[in-house]
Amino acid sequence: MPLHPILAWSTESTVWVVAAVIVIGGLAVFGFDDVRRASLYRIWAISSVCFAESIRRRVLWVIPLAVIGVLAVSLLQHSLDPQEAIRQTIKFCLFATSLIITLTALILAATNLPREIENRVIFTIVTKPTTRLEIVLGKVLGFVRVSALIMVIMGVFTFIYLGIQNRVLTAQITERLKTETDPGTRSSLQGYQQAGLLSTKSLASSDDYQIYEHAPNANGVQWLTGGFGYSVVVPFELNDQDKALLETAASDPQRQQVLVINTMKLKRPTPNTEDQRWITSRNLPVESHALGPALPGEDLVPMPVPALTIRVLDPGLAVIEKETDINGGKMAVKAGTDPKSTDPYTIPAYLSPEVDRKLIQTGKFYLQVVPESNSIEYEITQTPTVLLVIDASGQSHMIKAAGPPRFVSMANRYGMKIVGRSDGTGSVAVFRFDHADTPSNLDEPVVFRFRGGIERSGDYDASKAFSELAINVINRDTGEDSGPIKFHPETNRDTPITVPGKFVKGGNFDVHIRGMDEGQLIGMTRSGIQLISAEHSFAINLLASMIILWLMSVLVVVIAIFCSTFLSWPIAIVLTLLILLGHWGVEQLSDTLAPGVGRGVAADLGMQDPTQLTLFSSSVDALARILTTVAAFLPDLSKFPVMEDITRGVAIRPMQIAQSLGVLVCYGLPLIVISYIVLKNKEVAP
Amino acid sequence: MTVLDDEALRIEHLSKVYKDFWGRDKVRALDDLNLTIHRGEVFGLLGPNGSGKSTTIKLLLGLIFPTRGSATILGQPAGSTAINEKIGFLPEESYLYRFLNGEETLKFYGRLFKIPRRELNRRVPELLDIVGLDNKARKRKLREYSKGMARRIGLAQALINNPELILLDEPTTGLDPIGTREMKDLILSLKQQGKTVLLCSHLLYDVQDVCDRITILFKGKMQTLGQVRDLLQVRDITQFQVQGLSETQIQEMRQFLSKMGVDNPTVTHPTTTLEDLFMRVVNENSPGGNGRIQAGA
Repeated sequence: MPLHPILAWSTESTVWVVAAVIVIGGLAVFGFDDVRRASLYRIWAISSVCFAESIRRRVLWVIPLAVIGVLAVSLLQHSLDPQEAIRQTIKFCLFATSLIITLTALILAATNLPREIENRVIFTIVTKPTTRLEIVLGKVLGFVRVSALIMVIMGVFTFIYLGIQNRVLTAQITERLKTETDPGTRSSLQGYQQAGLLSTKSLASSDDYQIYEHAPNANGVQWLTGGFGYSVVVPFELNDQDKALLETAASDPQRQQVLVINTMKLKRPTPNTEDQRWITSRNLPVESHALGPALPGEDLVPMPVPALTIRVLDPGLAVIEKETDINGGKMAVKAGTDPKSTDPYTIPAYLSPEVDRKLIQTGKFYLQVVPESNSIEYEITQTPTVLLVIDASGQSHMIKAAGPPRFVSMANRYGMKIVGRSDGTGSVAVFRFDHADTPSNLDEPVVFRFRGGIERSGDYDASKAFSELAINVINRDTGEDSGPIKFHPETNRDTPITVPGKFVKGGNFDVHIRGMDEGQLIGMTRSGIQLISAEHSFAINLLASMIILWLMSVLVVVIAIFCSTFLSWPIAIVLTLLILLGHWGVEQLSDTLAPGVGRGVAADLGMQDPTQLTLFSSSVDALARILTTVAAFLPDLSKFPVMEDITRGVAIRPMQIAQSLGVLVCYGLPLIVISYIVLKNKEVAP
Repeated sequence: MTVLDDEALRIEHLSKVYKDFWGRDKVRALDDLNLTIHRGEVFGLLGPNGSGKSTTIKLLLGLIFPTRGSATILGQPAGSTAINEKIGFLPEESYLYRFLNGEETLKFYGRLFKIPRRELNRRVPELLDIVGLDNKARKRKLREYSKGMARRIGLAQALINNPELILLDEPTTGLDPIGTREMKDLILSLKQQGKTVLLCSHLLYDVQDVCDRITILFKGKMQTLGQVRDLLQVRDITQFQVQGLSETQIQEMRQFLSKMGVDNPTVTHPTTTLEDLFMRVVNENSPGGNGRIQAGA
């Protein structure tokens, strides 16, 4: 679960402010004279000694080891797809380079200063006209030079090795195309042959991505069938008045209530056999007596009660309050209604004071409304859900949604999924592109790249050797629709789709994707379909990736030197790793650290005593909060995208390098200043 | 020249107490030291191990911070980066980068003084000659150096900036008698050049030979201070030294002293020092006969 955007923004801003205060304040108070005295000549001399020491201690021996590792792993891999094979090799090369650069930088930088203090070489440095600032800068520069050297050597190796592999694999593609008959595979291989395996592209991604059970229409109304995993998420943004309302209700739950009110029409046909099976197996609520007249000779079919599941999601669509915490852990239902009625119904769900407080704390959230009852169709309008606060006097106050609902579906491991139908009436993935970058020449066809995961259910025609999907591109400026263009993708492989350029002209267009096979389930993410907007050189992309990697190694050096100014080298290495991996680690644990984790842990431990339980759960919650907050202030390594783009053949944008540089400056400069202040006030004679 | 201009070093109430982890006093290494050293003087800081000599040097160089008191070097606060331009320091052991060779070492330290490359190219061989490191030794890594060679390169780095004040911590440790003599000669030559030398040692003979004044520290306190010859003089004994007296003349001298009321005067032949004997033997047997053996040869 990513950080809450507001927390992310505020911590990011705070980190910059703190960084500026440390750098300016630290230097102004402690180091004005030393800044004035700082000499590049001396800094370079100190860095040269660090560099020479590293080289003479045979640090570069790690390079042949890494090269042998890469060669062994890449030669042993058995990838049938040539594109995948070359991408795996890029991954191996970059992984090996990252590993040796970061580990070398970490070990060299963390051990240097403690060793110099221990063996007293530092005596002969600090007794020269060298400021402690120059010492810190010199050491950083020295180890950064070592990283740069390793990076250059590994970069040249990677480029040459990939060049060789590209030639070999391209020759193999030509051979395979002579005999290959499978249309999906042929299409992929021809795409690789035309584009080149090391091709690098700029891709335009969609700005919005929704899954509709039925193709969307102009009035925005959708009918969702219960029990198929389709749902809507309704956005809310609380203002101060809303929060005050909720706070009052939360503080007086005996007399006040907060309800989620869902208003919708329903279509309630008699459940067919399949639906009945689901209703029984899912233990869904049914009307206490069968509704409607039975056909002659038939038993009355039990009618399901309209039921909804409600969850609270954060702005990143991660669940922050499960259905078990809402409406007393039960589904919201509307029993005893006339199945033939076309009137809209309200289906309420009750929110507990704990959930109210979570909403106040979050401020910005989604309410997910999931139609549950099979056979029933639920009308989703542009305003399906509101919050209703009933105060002590019985008066109700409405909190409206901040916008129209977004349509989503259940996700598999490849992303939210659509269901294929052979007549093209299955669910639709709609990707909305706003002001997207497009190729400069739109007289030529443009190429979209599809990537998703395909699963097959029991209804799938097993005799079909390949999957078929269809794409429609609709230009919103001109209203022109490309009509369905069929293509044959393979799971987790890029499939090129050629579309006439006029449909993307202006950059404002929608892309609809449907499955064309019965029983086909296609999972995809927001980047499932992307428009290739430009071609670039692989060498430049490799260089960009290496620069980002090098910037990361500079950060490693700075953190390691910072830690080594006040710790022994083994502890400095451990602390450096903690600082580097803290943010990422807590992000991985974030589900475990979600609010309320204390209750869960206490329950797992079988605690019964309420006092003990409260004390324990609040302590665990506090610890989780501290961890999350501390992690928010640690550097985010995901801002150093060394591998993600290049291994997908996507051009690394200058903005990404700037972003990495930003993180480096934000954390690196203050840490250099703190290192200097610590060293200046440290007695270096043991 | 004012009194202050004449001072190379002034120490006032300098004290250092080492603390434990909890901030409690652990060791009082130096206790209220007051001292002034004049320009052009060779001053000896003597004392047994743990007496506070090295602590004094470390405080003067800013390697540790005083608990109380202050020191000024050539009129500026001790430990400041600026004053290090004028100081040369030879630590107790040669704490140098062992992966550099002799030349690289001196060039590195020279660059810390921002000495231009051309000037360094001239000065480095000159210094290596002065400290007696031959061509082979210059190209060898310091980790291959003997202890004596390491002291020599350590001394060379202390002199790279042509300092006004030179702090030598146990300069003769690890040196053979020839090296020791050369070190003492070098100290005297520095004195002749007008440099101030603060020498810290527990090898008393070395100090006696070169120092103008000394102080003896014990348990962190200054015990005595003064000119070497004054401190060593035995005032109630008079010594004559005469060359070429016969046995008869010696007997006559005894009778004369007896008449003067001097009972049992001691008449002996003076002995040379072991160092002098060693130097003479080596001198007579070395090629060229100048007694100078190049380190690293």
